[in-house]
Amino acid sequence: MENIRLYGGFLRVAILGKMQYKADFLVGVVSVLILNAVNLSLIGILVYNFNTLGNWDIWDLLFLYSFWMLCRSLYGIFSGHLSDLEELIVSGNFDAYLIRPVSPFVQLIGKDINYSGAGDLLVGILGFILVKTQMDFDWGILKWLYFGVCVLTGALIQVAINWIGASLCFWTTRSRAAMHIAERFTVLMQQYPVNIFGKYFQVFVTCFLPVAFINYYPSVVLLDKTTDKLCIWQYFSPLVAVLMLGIAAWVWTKGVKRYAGAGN
Amino acid sequence: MRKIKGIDLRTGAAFMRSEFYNLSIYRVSFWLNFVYTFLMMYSVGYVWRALYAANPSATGVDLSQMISYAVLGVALESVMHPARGPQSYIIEQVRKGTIEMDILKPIDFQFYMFAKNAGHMAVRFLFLVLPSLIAAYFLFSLQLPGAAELLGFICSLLLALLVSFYLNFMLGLLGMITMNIQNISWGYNAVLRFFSGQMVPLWIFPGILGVVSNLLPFRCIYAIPMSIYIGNYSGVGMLGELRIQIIWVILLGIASRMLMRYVFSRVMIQGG
Repeated sequence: MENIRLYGGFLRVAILGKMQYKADFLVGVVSVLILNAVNLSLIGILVYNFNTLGNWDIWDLLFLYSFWMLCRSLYGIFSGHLSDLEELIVSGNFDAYLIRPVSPFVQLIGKDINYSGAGDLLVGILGFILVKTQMDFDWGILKWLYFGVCVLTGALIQVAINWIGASLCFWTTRSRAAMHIAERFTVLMQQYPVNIFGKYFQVFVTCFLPVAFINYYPSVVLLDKTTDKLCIWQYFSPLVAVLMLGIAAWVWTKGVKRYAGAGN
Repeated sequence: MRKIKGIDLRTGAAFMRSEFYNLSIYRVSFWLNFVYTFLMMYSVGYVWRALYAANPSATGVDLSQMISYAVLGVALESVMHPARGPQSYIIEQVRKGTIEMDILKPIDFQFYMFAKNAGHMAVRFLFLVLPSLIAAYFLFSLQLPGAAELLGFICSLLLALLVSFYLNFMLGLLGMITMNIQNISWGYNAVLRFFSGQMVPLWIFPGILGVVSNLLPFRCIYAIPMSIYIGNYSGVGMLGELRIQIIWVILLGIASRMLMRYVFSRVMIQGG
């Protein structure tokens, strides 16, 4: 529990540091808003012309997108800087993390906080409110609870994927390119319902790179898009999150043990 | 060798070669990019297939043309994405404080950047785009254009590369003044993605958005060459589109020269 207290301390320092640059904060949030506006308008134009995508209409798609934005903002704000690990290792600064009597992971995750996630959060909340007024779904307490849990687990799955990606550079020194590609792939995947991509793809994003559990499967459950076939894994998001975090922690620990410093 | 004001073709070729060797070192990142390009082609193809299943006549072109358009969009993006433009090199040099070394080289700065960039693109085109297009031909039923379309497409693509270069170059010049283009680039990338027709063809844009996209230079980068490829313009229509591209190349060429002169005079004063 000492670690949690320290993490809070690190975050406070990071926030104080960020507060120095107010203009940068605003520009960052505005550019995130533009980016999302572009993504949403492109989907909007498509659905405007075609009416539906698979069996998803415009509001279903907005739900999917907002859901992802909520996950992504949580992930981005607290751990968007995981990819900095490559720079730390290449520059040799990671050594400093190892000699301090604090878990290196807590230091890495607490070293920064990313305000651009605030833009995503804004888009997610606004989108969700819009969908709520349009679709007027009537959720019981259980569904709301499931919604909350899935937003959290969606964020955690993304944290885990990036944590594994970042840890790879203990072996390869460079990992940013791979993470960048995984990121852009995820961005594309989260905008569209996974079932339109065919069976093999669905297997790929379910079993190998489980990004379908971030927002697709929870949305399927919450929007009652379940087909007659009983697909129990639609409910597995929380389980997958725990599993992925376990794998990530294992890879990280292995990596730190293996780490011998750059140079020499 | 001909020399006009520091524009020397042999030096340019040398920079292209060195860029070629630079890139061919990173094998892992090459394979990753290849897989990524391939996955993207696969997924955009499926998005269009799902859309067409609901409403086959919404865009006015048939499905195989649309898939060719989308696959080509992915392929071209992997060459012309702004992250690969000269501005990332310029801003890196600015940050390191070594940009003077580039400016003071006895070669025209813009030409130097162009040669470097052209080398980079040539490598990516040969080793990334061409193989994935061939794979796309077999796997995603990519259409082959007729002779006239192919010729038009190649001309149009070369012009598109120039337009893309000038825009990126000007962004880099801005970076010399503002010292940071991270956030501006984000906005630029987003606007480019939207108005260039790289993902969603511009002719299905509703009302005012369609008009705006026609007035901007971004459609010269993706929409025009890709539309020519799938046979959307023929004869006079194609020539008209090529003329629009040429006009933009000239305008942006002049604008970038003027901006370069202005920025350099400011940089010189700052440097002291």
